[in-house]
Amino acid sequence: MRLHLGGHLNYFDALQRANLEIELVGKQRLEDVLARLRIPAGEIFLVSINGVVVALEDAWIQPGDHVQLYPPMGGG
Amino acid sequence: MGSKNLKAVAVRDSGRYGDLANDAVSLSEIGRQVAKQVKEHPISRDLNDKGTPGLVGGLNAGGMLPTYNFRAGAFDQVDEIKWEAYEKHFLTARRSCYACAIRCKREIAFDERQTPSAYGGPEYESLAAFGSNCCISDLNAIVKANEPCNLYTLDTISTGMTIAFAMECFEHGLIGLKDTDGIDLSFGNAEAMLQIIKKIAHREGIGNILAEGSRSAARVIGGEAVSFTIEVKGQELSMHDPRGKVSVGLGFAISEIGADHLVSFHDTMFTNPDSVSFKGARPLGITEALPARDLSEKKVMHYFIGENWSSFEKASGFCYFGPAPRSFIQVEDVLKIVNAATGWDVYLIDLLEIGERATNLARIFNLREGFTPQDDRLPERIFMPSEAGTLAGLGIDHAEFNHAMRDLYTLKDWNWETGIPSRQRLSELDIAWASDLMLH
Repeated sequence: MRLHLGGHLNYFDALQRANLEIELVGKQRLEDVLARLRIPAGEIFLVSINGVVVALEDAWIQPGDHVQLYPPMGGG
Repeated sequence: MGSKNLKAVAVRDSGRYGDLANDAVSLSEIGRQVAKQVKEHPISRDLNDKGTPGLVGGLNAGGMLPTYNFRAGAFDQVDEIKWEAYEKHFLTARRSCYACAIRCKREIAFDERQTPSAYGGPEYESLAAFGSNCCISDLNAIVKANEPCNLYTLDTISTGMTIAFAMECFEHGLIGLKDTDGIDLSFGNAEAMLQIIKKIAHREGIGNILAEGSRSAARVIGGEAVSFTIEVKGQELSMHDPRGKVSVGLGFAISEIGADHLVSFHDTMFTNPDSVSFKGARPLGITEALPARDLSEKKVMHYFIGENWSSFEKASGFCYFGPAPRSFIQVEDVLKIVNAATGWDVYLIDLLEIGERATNLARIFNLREGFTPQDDRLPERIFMPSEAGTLAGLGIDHAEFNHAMRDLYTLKDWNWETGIPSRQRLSELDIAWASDLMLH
C-alpha cells in the first residue's frame, strides 16, 4: 500500500516521510495502520483511497491501494 | 496606487523596534519562545518546508482546487503542478520577509526560459490561477508567468483569473483570433497565457481590455461574457472554491475589497476537534467542530470571530501565517506581544474589537463610495454544481447562503436593507463619529 502524508502530516512520522510503502497482510482498518505509525487521527481532514474520498472511520485498506491523507488546510 | 499617481510610500525609521517597545524585556522573552516554537510546530515547519505551494495536492483531493475557470474543483494533470514537481525542478532556496523565522518564500531558478530568481517562485495562488484554473499543466510556463507579473506589479490572481475568463470567452466564440492578434486562447495553451500577460502589461491589443480586469472586459466584450466573470466588487476570486469551504464564500461576498480569502478562517481548519488548528482557535470562542460545507448559524459565528481576528492581525501588522489558528503563535502569546509592545492592558475581546472596528470603518468608506448590500454577493457559478472532483455535482444553495448572509449582518448589527452599521454598535466600538462620513 502506498501512503502519502500531505501537508504537515509527515512531521508525525518517525522518519518524517511524505511517501511510504507499507506492506499489508489482507484488509485492514486505516485507523489501525495510522495508530501503528503514530499519525494522530485528530490531525486528519481528508482521506482519499484510490482517488475516492472516504471518512476515516469507514476506511479499510488492502495491498495495492494508494492512500492520500491531508490535514486541515488554511488559506494562503 | 497607479490610479492615484502614487509612485511609492517612504518610511523613515525612528529607532530600533525593540527600543520602542513599552516592555522590551517581556517582548524579547516572548520573541525567544516564538523563535523556538517556529521550528517545532507542524504548521510553521510545513510553511517553511513547502510554502504555500504545498496546498495544491490537498485542495485538489478535496475538490477545492479552482479548475477550468471555477467550473471544476480538481485538475486531471495536477501532478504536474504539485509541490513535489516544483521542489524537484525549480526550488533553489527558502527565503523570508524581513526578520521572519517561518521563511515561506520560495526562490527558484531555471534555464529553459531564463527566469531570474529575483522575482521569487510562484505561491499557491499563482500556481492555481495560471495553472489549474487555465487548465495549464506546464509548470515551466506557470513559473515564468510569475515573473512579468512581479516585474510589472500585476496581481497574479486577478491576472490568471482574467486570462481564464478570456479563455472561456474564446471557447464560446465571443472573441476570436482577429481579436487576439492571432493568439489561440484555448484553455490549456501555456504559450498563449504568457503572450497575453505581456499584452496586458503593455496594454497592447486585447491586453488593453483585459488590463482593466474581467468585470470591465466583460462589458466591452458583451453578450454572455458577464456570466464567465468570477468576481466580487470587481475583484476576481482567489484560489479557494467556496463550494467546499462555504464560509470562505461569506468572506468573498462581504469583504470590503472584493473576493479575499484572508478575511477570516477557512472551514477546513475546524472539522476535527482534536486538530492543532481547532485547539488553536478555542481561546477565541470556537468550541464546536463543524463540517466544511455547513452554513448554519454556528458556522456564521465561526466566520464572524475569524473575520474580527484576521482584521485585528492586519490592523496590528501580524502576518496571516504567524498567529494561531492558521499558524503557530498561540492566541494568548499574541495578546502578550500586544501588551508588551504597547503598554496596554487589554484582553482578547479587545483585540477582536479592534478588528471589528476596522471592518466597520472600511464598510462606512464603501457606503460613502456608493456600495450597497447588493454588492455583497457571490458569482452565479458558485451556486452551480462543480463539474469534477470530490465535490462534483455540488454547489452552494442560494437560499441557504442568503440566510447565512442575513445572520452575518445581524451579528455585525448592520441593516439588512441598507447595509449601514447601527449607530449603537459604532458607539460601542468608539467610532460613532464615523457614521457622519456616510452622509458625504
